[in-house]
Amino acid sequence: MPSGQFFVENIGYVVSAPFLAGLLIVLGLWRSKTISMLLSVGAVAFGFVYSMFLFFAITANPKLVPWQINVDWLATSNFHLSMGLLVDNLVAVMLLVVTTVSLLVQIYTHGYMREDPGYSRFYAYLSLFTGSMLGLVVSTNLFETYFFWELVGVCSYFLIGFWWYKASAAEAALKAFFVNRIGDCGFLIGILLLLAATKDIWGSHVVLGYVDPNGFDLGGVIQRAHQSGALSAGLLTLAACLTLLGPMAKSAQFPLHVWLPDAMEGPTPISALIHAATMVAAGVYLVARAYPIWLTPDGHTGSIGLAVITVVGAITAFMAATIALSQFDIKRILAWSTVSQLGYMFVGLGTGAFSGSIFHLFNHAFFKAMLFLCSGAVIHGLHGEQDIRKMGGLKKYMPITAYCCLVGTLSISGCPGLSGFFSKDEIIASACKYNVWLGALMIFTAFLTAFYMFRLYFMTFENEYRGDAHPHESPPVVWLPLVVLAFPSVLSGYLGFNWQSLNGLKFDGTEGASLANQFAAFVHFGQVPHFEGMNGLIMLISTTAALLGFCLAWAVYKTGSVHVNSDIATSKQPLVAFLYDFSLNKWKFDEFYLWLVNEIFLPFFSFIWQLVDKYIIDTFVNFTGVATLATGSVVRLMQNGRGQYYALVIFAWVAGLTIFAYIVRP
Amino acid sequence: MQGFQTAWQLLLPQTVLVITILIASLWNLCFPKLRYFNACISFIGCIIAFCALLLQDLGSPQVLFGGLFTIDHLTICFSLIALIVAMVVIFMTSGYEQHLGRNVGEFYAIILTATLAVMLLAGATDLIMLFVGIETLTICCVILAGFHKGDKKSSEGSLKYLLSTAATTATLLYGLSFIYGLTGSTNFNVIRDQMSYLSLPPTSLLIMFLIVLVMSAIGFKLAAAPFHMWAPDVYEGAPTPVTAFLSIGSKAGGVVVALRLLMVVFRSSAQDWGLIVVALAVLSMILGNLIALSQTSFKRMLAYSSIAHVGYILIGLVAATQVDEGTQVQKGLSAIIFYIVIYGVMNLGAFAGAILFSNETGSDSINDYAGLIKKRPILALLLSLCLVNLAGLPIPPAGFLAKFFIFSAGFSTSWHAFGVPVGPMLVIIGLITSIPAIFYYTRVVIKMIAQEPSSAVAALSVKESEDTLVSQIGPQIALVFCSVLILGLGTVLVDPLMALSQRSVQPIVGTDLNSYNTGVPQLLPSLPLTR
Repeated sequence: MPSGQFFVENIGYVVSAPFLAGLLIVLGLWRSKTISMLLSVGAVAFGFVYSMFLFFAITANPKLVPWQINVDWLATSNFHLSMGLLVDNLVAVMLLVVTTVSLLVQIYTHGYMREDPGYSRFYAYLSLFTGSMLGLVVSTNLFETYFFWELVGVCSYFLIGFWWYKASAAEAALKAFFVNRIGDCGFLIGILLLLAATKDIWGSHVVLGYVDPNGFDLGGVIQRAHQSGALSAGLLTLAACLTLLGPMAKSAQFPLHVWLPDAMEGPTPISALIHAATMVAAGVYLVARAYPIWLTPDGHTGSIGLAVITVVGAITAFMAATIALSQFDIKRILAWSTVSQLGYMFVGLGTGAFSGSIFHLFNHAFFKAMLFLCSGAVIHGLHGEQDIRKMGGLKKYMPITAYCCLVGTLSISGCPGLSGFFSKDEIIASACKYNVWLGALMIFTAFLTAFYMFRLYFMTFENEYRGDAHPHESPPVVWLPLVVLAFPSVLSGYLGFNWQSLNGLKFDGTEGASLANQFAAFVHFGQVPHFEGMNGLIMLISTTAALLGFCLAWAVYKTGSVHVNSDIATSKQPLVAFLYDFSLNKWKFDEFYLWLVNEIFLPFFSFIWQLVDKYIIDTFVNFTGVATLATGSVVRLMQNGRGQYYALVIFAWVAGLTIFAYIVRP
Repeated sequence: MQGFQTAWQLLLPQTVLVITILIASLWNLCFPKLRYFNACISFIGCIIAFCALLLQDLGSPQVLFGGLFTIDHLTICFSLIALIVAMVVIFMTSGYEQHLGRNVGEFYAIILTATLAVMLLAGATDLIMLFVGIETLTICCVILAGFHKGDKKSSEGSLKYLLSTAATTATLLYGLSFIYGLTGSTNFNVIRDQMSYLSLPPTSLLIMFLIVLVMSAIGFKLAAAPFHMWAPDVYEGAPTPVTAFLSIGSKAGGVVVALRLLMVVFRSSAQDWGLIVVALAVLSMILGNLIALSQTSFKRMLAYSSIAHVGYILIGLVAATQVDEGTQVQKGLSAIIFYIVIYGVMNLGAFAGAILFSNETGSDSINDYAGLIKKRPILALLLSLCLVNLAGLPIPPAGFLAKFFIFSAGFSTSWHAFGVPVGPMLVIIGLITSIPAIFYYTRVVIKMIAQEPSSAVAALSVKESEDTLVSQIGPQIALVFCSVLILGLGTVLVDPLMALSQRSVQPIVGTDLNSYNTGVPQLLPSLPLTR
C-alpha cells in the first residue's frame, strides 16, 4: 500500500488519464465502440479510485497538504507564468465530486447512447471534458485556471451541440459559447488588472498562485500591494467584479444565465455532467479558490465584492425558482432548479458561509446528477418525450427511477435528514445573519423550490399516465448509477453535521453553540475552520416553508383539490396574467437580449462603422489608389528593363538618403 | 604551429562544410546513378558541422588569421542559424528536384557554399573578409535564383539580382575604401578606435555618406526598402527552396554584418546610422505590408511580407542606438536574434507548405488554397500554424513573443529626434502596419479552413499517389520540423532561446567605447567636410 505522500505527488496522472483517453479515442480508437467506452470509463474510474485514496490519505495525515509543483511554461527575465499541480483539502473534495459524478455519468452513457451513431465521439468529448475540469481543479494559479476554464468551455460547446444536425442544438451550443465568451472576457480583464497591480510583488513565486507557504499567495500579495499603494481598494473591487463575470457565466448567474436552460438540447448524460460536476461547479469553485480577490484588501469580509456576489446569487436563486414554477419540459425544470441552487451557493460565498457553500456544491452534485439521470431514464423510457404534461403515473412502470427521483426531490427541497437540508440550512442561516430580508427571500425561495420540485415529481410519477407511449423501466446500466447516487444524496449531509448540536438547539432565534463538524473542519477558508452554530428558529421556519411548498404541490398536482395552477394560467386579471407570462417566458431575458442586440448594438455599430467607413477607410482607399497609380508610373519609369536603371535607382537612393539624413540630423 | 592547430580546430565546422561542398559537387560526376543521395550527403555534412559547432568549447572570443576572422558567441549563433536553414532547405529541395533538371548536384553544392558564406560573414571582423563573404553569398544567390534554366521568370530574376548586386557592390566598395582611407586599417577594432579617435563632428556629411554607402549594401542583402526592388521578382522567379533560403539565410547574413559593422565600426556615430535605420525601418514596414496586401500569389505575398519583417528587425537595431545604456542595447540586439530565429522557422515552414501545395496542384495562387483542410488536413493545419504565427497571433505565442520583445525594446528607447520619441513612434507604426499583416496572413488560413474547396484542391485525390508521396517526404519533414519548433519556441523553449540570444550578442554589447579611446595615435587631421 503506497503512502499518502505517493497519492499526493502523483496527482498528475488523474488529470492526464482522461485527456489521454480522449486523445486516443479521437486519434483512431473511435473505430471500436467497446474500446472507446472501456478506455474512457477506465480513465475516470482510475481517477475515482485514486481520488478516494487521496481523500483518505489527507484525512489520515493533514500535514501532507497543501502540496504543489510548478513548471514555468512562459518565462522571461522579469516575468514568468507557471503551470502546476496543487493538492489541498478543497482540491481533494472537488476531485471526489468530479470523478464520482463523471464515472457514474459515463457508465450511464453506455446505456443511454448505445443506439447513437456518435457513441465513441461522445465518449471522447466526455473524457476531454472531465480532464479539463480536473485540470481546472488542480490548477495552481489563475492563468492556469483560465487555460482549463476555456477548455471546459470549448468541450461544453462540443457536447451541447453534440446533435449538431438539430438546429436547436447547434443554436444552444452557440448561445452557451457566446454567453461564456462575455464572461470570460471580463474574467481575463480582471486577471490582467490584478496582475498589472501586483506584478512587482510576486518575485520568484508562482504568479497569481493560490497557495504559497511564505504568504505570497493571492491574499498575501493583494494585502502587500494594498500596503505599498499599488492596489487601491477601488481597483480591487473593479478587478473583483470583472473577474466575477467569468464565474457568473460558467455558473449561470443572473444576468448571464440564459445559456443554461437551452443547453438542455445536449444529450441527457451531458446535462447531468454539466449541471452537477463540471461546468457550473467550475464557477463556484473558482470563487472559492480565488476567494481573496473578493474580500477587502486586508482580507476581511464586508467588501463590495462579496456584496455583489450575494446580490447576484440572491436574484438568481429567486428568479430561477419563479421561472421553474411554470415550465413543462422535465429537463428545463431541473435546469432552472440548478440555476437556483447555484444562486444559493453564491449567496453562501457572499455572506461568508464558505464551507457551507462548498458543502452545498458537494451535496448538490450528487442529488442533481441523480435527478438528471432520472429524467434521462424517463425520457428514454418514453422514447424521447420531455413534456411533463404527457407523463404521469410512471411510478407503476419504472419504480426504481421513481424512488430515486423522490429521494432527490426530498433532498433538494430541504427535507430534514437528507443531504440538501444541512447545506441549504447553513446558507440560509448565514444569509439571515447577513440581512434579515435576504434570509426571508432565501426561505421563500426554499418554499418555491419544494413546490416546483414536487410539482415535477407528482406530474411525472403519480396519478394516471397521460401520454400514448409505452413506458418501461430502463436497463440496469441506466438505473444502477441512479441507485448508487441515491446513497450520497441521503447520507452526504451528515459529513457536515454534529449530532451534539441537537442537544443545544434553541428555538428563540439565537444560535446554538458552534460545534465542530467534519466537512467544515476539512474545507475552510483561512487558517482556522469556522463553525456555525445551529439556529433552531430559522431551521424551523425554512423547514415549514418547504413543507408548505410540498403541501401546496400535493393539493394541486396529486389530489387535484386545488386549482390555482389552471386559475393562474388562464387568468384574465392583467397582473396575474402578466406574472404568469413573465415566469413562463423566463423573465423575458431572451427577448430583452435580442432587443438589445438588434435595436441598440447593431444599429450603433453600423452607425460607427459607416462613419469609419466613410471618413477613414474611403479616404485611405482613395489615397492608396492615387498613391499606387503614382508609384506605378514612377516604377514604370524606373523598371523599364534596362539594367543601368537598377544601378541608377540604388545610387539615387544612396544620395537621397545621405542628404535626407544630413539635413534631418539635428 | 600551436596556433595553426587551434585555428584548424576552431574552423572545423567550416572545414567540414567545405569538404561536403566538394563531395556534393563531384558526386553526380562520379556516381551518376546515385545522384539522389546528394541530398543525404549534404544533410550529413550539415549535421556534422552543426555538431562540431555545438561541441565547440568557447571561453573567450578567438581571433584567427591576424584579426580576419573572429569566433565568438555571435559567430556561433549565426552559424547555427545558417546551418539549420541549410538543412531545412535541403529537405525542401529533395522534394523539388523534379523541377531542377539534371544539375541537382551543383544545386546542393551552391546552397552549401552560400551557407558557408553566411558562416564566414558571421565571424568577419575585417573589411576584406566581409567583402569576400558578401560577394560569395551574393554570387551563390545569383546562380541559385537562375537555376530554373529555361524559365523566363527565373532568368529574369537572376539577371535583375545580378545587376542590382553589381550596383550595391560598387557602393559598398566605395564606402569601404573611404573607411580604409580614413583609418588606414581594415580591422574592425582598429577602425572603431580610429573612428572614435578621429572625433568627427556628429553631423559630418562624410560620416553620413559612409554610413549610407555601407547601409545600402546591408539593406540590399536584407531586402529592406528602398533597396528591395530586386526582391519580389527574384523571390517569385527563383525555385521555391531558393526563395526560402534568400528570405532567411541570406537575410541572417545581412543582419550579422549590420550588427558587426554598425555596433562595432560605427559605434561612435550610433545616432547617425540610427536615423538611416529608422528611415529604412519605416519604409520597409509600410511598403512591405501594404504591397503584400494586394498579392494573389502565395510566394509573392511571402516575399513582400519578408520586407515588412525586416522593418520589424530594424526596430531592434534602433533600440540599440543608445550605446551608453548596456541593458538597452542588449535588449534590442537579443530581440533581433530572437526574432530572426522565430521568423526563420515560421517562414521556412510556410515555404515548405507552399512547395507541398504546388507539387500537388501546380498552383501558387492564394485563391487555390481554399478548402485545403478537406483534402490535406495536416498540411492545412501546419501551414496555418506557421501563417498565424507570422501574423504575430499568440497561437502558440512564438511569433507574438518575437514581435513583443522587439516592440518592447523599441518602446523603451529614450532617443528623441525633433521632440518625437523615436522608439515609440516606430512601435506605433509597427503596430498599425501589423493590421494588414494579420489580414493577409489569416486570409489564407481562413480560405484553407473555412471555405469550400477551390477547383485545384477539389481535383486532388484523397490519397496521395505513390510518386508524389516520395517527393513530398522532404518538404513534409521540413514542415513538421518547423511546426514542432514553433510549438516549442512558443512555450518551453522561450527561455533557452532568449538566453542564447542574450549570450550571443554579449560580444558586441560588451564593447566598452571609452576604454579604447586612449593611446591611439592620430593619423589624420580633422577633416574639412564638416558642417
